[in-house]
Amino acid sequence: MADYQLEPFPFLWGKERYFGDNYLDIVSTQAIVSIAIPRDNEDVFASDFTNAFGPCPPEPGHSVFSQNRDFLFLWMSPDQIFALFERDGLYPELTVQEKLGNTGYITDQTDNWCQIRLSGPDIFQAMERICPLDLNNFPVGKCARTVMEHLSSVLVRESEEGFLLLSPSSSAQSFLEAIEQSFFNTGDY
Amino acid sequence: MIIEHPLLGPRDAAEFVYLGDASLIARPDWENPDAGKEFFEYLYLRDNPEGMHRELWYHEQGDRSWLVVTRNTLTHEILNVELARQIALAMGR
Repeated sequence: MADYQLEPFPFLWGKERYFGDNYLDIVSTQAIVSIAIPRDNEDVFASDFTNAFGPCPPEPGHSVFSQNRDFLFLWMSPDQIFALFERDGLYPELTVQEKLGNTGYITDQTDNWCQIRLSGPDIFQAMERICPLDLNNFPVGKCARTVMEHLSSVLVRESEEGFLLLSPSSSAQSFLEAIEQSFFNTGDY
Repeated sequence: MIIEHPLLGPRDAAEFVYLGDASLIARPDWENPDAGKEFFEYLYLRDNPEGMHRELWYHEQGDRSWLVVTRNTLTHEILNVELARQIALAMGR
């Protein structure tokens, strides 16, 4: 029997495109690793996290970079953090575990999400039509889980004119179409 | 309707799922002598207040927290929002 090895493949490969001066990029090399915080062990986890990565764990509704800026951590819920970083192999969870040890419950979530990066001057107009959050009160570094066009999504404000969006891979194409359609509805592209 | 999440600030009610009376947190002990009667009341008997009502909401399209929302059933005004987890811990559960 052949010894097959599975390799990850981005769900929206080749769908990146411009809408005027705005760019929709498909993020394909970034791993997503979930870190669940053991109940009643939050203080130990926070200490180990700081020793491993530099900063304190992200506050509710916020993201934080590691000291070397090679990891971006997203607050997802009171007991869960996502770690985003450039994938360096087939088992990204081991990359986190090597640094953090066994304090948290670590699982690779990369295949469960599609990742879209939006940048440009008109992205707020496009997103406001489909996003229920107040984007005027969404500063750089903030992140939130919400629903866009009935699809679960995570927003991260990366820069003044840039968002990273995550949505379940099972509905990746629908999520992409929702964003594209919102651009068409708000501009002449 | 906007729900003021204790951790995340104002969020649209569309992100939440409503469950029901917050008294559901106080699940009876199955080992109590009157467990049968208590579970009957727990499962089937509900107050239907005109005015203030404490109820459980689940932030399904958000951080997956359970909240206890105090809402006026006549006006839908929300007077208080708490994390159900903290309430349950304070109750010794």
